[in-house]
Amino acid sequence: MTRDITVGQFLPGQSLLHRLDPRTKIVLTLVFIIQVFVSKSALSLCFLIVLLGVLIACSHVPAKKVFRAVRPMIPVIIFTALINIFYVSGNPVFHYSFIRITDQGLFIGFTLFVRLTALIAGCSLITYTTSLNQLAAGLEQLLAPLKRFHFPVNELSMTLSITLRFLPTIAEELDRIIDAQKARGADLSSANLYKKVHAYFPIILPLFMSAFRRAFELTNAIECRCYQGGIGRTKMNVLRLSRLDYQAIVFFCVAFGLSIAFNLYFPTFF
Amino acid sequence: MSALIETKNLHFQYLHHQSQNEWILNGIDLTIQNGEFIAILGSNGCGKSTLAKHFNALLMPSDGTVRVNGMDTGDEKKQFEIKKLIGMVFQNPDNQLISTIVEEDVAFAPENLGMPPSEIRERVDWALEAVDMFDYKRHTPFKLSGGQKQRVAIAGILAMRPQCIVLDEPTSMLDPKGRTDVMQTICRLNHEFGITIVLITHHMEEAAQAKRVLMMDHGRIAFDDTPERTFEQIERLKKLKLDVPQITELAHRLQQRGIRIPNGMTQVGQCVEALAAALEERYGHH
Repeated sequence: MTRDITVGQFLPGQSLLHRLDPRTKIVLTLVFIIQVFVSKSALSLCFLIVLLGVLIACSHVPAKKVFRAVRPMIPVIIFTALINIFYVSGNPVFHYSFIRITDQGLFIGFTLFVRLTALIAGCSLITYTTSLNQLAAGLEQLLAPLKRFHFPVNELSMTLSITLRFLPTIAEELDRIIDAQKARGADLSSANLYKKVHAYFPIILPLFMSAFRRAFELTNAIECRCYQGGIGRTKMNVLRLSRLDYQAIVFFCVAFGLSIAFNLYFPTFF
Repeated sequence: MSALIETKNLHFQYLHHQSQNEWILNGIDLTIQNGEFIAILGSNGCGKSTLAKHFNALLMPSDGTVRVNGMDTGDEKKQFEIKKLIGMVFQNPDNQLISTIVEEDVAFAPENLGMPPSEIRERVDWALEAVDMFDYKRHTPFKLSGGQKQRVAIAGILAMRPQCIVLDEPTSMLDPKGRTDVMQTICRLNHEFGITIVLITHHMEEAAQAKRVLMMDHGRIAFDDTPERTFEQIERLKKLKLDVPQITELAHRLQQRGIRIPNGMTQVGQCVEALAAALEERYGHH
């Protein structure tokens, strides 16, 4: 049994988006998502979609990949959009017994569809172009001011990085245990739900035991390497904003400024 | 040479105030000098791993003292300093690596020591070079072989620049190739960088590469001498349920059959020469 144990969906590359500092990407993605959701003007929304298209082109990530990230969410998005279509008041365009569809409802349903799709595409773009290590490092530095309020930022990022490190190891171990229990006659393919749950106990328990054992050993190893929590810790790879980051920030300020201007001066959908 | 690790009348027992059980370590007096290469042998449960964990304050003695460079391991203020001096490598490389990128893992210890980034970079490159893993620095440890992972784990300790590295059965989970590579690395650290090595092992061939061999039995040191003299005592080793290196055993058997060959042979080359000389003496001049 082989399992795809790639965590995250990072596609290594050298594109503009790959080379940006993870902090820049995280903040700009957040601002982009907020913009997509607060934009009331059709012009502004169209503009943001075009911007997203340009970004995908700059990232060298095949559009197919972005679509693949969005696809599993499409039923949810359509469902959300449909609910909105039926429940928004306005001028009715269609009326049959209790079903009432208004022009407003149609617009809102449609724009919601566009907004949610853009949200997921935007998020997938950052995970395609940023490794999980980079994302964790970026988050750690962005959250650093919270240290003042005794929020354990360092410990959190350490936990995250150990989790990422051990996911493939534990997944491999899971495969081994499943094979071992099958060899002892465990029946995992039973259609009966009760039997199936029951059959998984001998797999989950050894997995937990082994995870605890690993945790104890790792604790020793970490202690031997002088870990004392975040206090007094430095980093080998310090994130530094490059010229490219400043250019990207300026570019996005202009773009987001335009989007806000569209909202102010062309506030309606048409 | 000065004493690096010194234990006096070291006793240890888990939860010692509660149980009346046998001591796991039962009065160990040991001095390890700077720059030594020591192998610790012993059957399962003889206390060798427990002893090793006392060297860098992972465990505290129940009775007696352990001093590292004169610092008592019981002194909490000195423990950080002691952990910096005495590094430790464990059996399973998977459970020692904490990062998904080799060089970031090696950087972990110097980062904990709070060094400036440029110095960390220097140390990481040096450590990876020393274990011959420099070319893999951007790789993920998950894709490496066991021997390579273990060498990365050694580099992770090396980056602290410790005076001594204690290795607790570092090769027992590796394939033969990985085992040789790791042993070569360990020997190199001792020869080239003068790092004190304490190697806990089951393999006599590995112990034979050390300059001093300790044999443990029931929480005591049963024997403490050079590998040659240790392996002379074949009957005694067998009583402790330890295997002697094949070469040593061969020489021993030949000796019993009346071939004159010196005792305590540990290296193949050494044995070949001695055997050739013995044959020459017996059947020579034809």
